[in-house]
Amino acid sequence: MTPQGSIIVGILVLVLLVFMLNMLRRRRINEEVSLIWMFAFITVILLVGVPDLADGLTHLIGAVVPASALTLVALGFIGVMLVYTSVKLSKLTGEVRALAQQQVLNQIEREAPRKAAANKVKQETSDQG
Amino acid sequence: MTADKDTAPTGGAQDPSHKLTLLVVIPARNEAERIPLVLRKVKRVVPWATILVVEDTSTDDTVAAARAEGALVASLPINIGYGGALQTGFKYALSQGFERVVTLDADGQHDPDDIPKLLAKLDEKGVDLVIGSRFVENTNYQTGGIRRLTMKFFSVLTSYLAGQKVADTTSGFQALGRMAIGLFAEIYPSDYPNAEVIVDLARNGGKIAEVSIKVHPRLGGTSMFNLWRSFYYVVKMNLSILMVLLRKRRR
Repeated sequence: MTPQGSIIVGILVLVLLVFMLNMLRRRRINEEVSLIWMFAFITVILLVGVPDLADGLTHLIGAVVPASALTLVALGFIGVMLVYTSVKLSKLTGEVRALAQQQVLNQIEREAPRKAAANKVKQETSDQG
Repeated sequence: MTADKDTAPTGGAQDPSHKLTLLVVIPARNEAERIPLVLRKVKRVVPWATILVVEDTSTDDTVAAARAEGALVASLPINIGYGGALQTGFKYALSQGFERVVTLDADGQHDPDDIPKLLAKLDEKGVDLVIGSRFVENTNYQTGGIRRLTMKFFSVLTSYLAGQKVADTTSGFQALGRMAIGLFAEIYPSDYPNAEVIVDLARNGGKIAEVSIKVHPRLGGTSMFNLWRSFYYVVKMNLSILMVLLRKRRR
């Protein structure tokens, strides 16, 4: 990668790293997820900052230039994150559904004895009548 | 929740002839105009039953209309789909110790007069699920060619996989015994629970029976199926059935 390219990628990643830390500070993202992103940013910084690492990776995956290797790593990471997010989303959807059901079931349980008592009073009144 | 029958809302929720408690579960969304008539008919046919309307984020007066008819109403805070609404009813039945559940739609298509027929079949030895079928005999049910073809396809597939003949896999008019209530309260799809739950029940040792029912035209409103949803339904159902076959048996 050319020095100019390395500088641009480095600045971009640093900006994203600061952005992520700020999101974490404002509690817009939790530690678990932010750690995954920060790990990815630091990996890119290392690949850009240490040319031997990028060259080694390029040879390892059979790419011609380090930029291609970097793109492949980024694509792989995005793919993994999408699957991770989908799994989390499915789990959360199931949990929200179960919570909503439990909430209404609790509500019925609270109301049902009152209704049974009301029915009893109604029945007794009609019996007396 | 505790299984305390004393808290069952209508108190004497028993069939005088069978001494079995019955919960009628009616999922409803924007059915304020149609549900009073359905509830009145249910109360006339099975006056000993507890009726639970599971209202799924309606924007009309479905809740008030159902309460006015004396039904219990579970008003869900978020939309969790037709299957999610039904499962809420199964969970309630399980927690309160109901021995039988009947499910029917709130739009008036299912005739509550058929409930005793479903219950009589459920009383037969070993039957866990009774489907109110539109295709066992010639009924007045009419539907488009593609939809009928799709139903036929799932009927053949489900019958083969379940090892039991099932003519109508998409009917929402069903009667469940304790085994089916427990199984469905545990795991149930959120959107269109049809063929895959039947296959799931059969794989877990459940016996399925069908009785012929009358089907009326909708009293109004719109069907939840359109072309896109029908396409999605076919793809999703095949995937769901495949997953049921790949998963371990639960019982």
